[in-house]
Amino acid sequence: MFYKSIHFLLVIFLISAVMPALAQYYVGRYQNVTGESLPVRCAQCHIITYSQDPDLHGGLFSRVFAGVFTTDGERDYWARTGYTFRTDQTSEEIFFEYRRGAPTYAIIHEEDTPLGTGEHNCKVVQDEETGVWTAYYDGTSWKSSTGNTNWAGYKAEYCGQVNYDTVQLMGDDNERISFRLFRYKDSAGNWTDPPIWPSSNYDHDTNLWERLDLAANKMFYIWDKNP
Amino acid sequence: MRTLLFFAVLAITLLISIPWFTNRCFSQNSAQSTNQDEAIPNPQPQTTFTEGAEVITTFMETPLDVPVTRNQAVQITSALLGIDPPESCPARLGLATDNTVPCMKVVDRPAWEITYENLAVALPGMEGSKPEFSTLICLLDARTGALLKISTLPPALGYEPGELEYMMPKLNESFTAIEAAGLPEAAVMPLIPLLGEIEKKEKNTVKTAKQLTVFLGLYTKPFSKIADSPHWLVQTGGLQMPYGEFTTTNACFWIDAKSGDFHGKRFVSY
Repeated sequence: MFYKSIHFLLVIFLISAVMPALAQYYVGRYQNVTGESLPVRCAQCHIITYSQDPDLHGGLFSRVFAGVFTTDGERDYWARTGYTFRTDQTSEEIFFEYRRGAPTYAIIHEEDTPLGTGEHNCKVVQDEETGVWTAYYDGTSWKSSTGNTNWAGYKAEYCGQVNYDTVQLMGDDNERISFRLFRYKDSAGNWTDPPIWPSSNYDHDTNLWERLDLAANKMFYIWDKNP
Repeated sequence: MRTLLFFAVLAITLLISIPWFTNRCFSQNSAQSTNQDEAIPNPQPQTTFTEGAEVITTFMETPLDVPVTRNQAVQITSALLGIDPPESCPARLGLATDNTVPCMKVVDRPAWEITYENLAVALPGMEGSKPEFSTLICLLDARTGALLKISTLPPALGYEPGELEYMMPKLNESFTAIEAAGLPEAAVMPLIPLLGEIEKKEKNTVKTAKQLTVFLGLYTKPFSKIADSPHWLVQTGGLQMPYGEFTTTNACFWIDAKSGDFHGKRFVSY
């Protein structure tokens, strides 16, 4: 009988001991935040993008991102990651942007490998001990903050941002950028689905741009009405 | 029972060796030691980074017995700039200290300091040449011929002293000096024509710059599948790119010295 054989015992051993241990190792590499009694130190999103033939109009850039935000009343602080589309480059790239505290209060903006079309996961995570924010792209860390970033956000933020009306986003009405699976870690360290804030941070010409919030405020589309 | 024990030991061995092997594969520079590495130490992981660290650059001219001659030094730097060697240009031999050179300890290092004057650096969409870049100072390791730095006066500071040394180990990245003279000529795209290409791709990041600092080295970046590949790190400063309450922006570009491709860029607004 198979269940009495040595092979059966071996399979049980592998399943029960080895695989969880390996899984724990690989998962553990990306769990830098426990979130225990801490404010928001992690935010992520899932982006589905589409290709487009860039029609350059000389604008700067557009982007969608997930991030963490806070303010000291005088200055805003944030760590964000997502994709950016710069019309003067004719390509889209992932970006990581953060704000340093004293003494420089600088803004650092990093861009890297083209995002490409398809589905991607972007995440920013803060190491609670060092204050260093790290950006992840499809599970791989690609940039870490330097300087004084030892602040924690009080809210997660998810934005589609178009700096100029003449800037193109990828896709069109038929192929809208989908931005979903927003989550952040709450003060107890649990992954939480946040509401998408209403259009308070979304000032646009509705003749040119459209946004649609769906699925109990857990996802939205954004698209160019005149691609 | 023996068989079970064998497989259990095998499984435990795999459990230990797979993570070890994974780390080994993606750790910087693995065990690739060369003679050049001995001359120019690899960066050591740095546990802290302090913003606004003092910039220390000194050059003490002194006679030294070095393998790289003055003419060789001028030949190398001229080729890397992409210009014909000038009939004459100021060149000093001495001991250089410069804590802005990323990932390389330049402390009392025998070096040639070569000053190019009246350079005509023309950029796309620009009439004439760029006066801010008419004087470039090249620092070359006098023992290995490795380029350490090219800069204007004053230099641009895209990364502060110690910042890359702190950042790179976290991402298993590294940047080490290379002996440019040892590379095939076609292996490194020269700097000055490349500045024009940067401006074409990143408008107003070179043309409006007031300062420039450039490094050349072997770049390793697992995220982009780059391993020991010659790269320029180009930093431009004093850009007119207002951002929020900030008025000054510095930019950094990693440029593949073989293909001219970008592999990442950074804007710092103060």
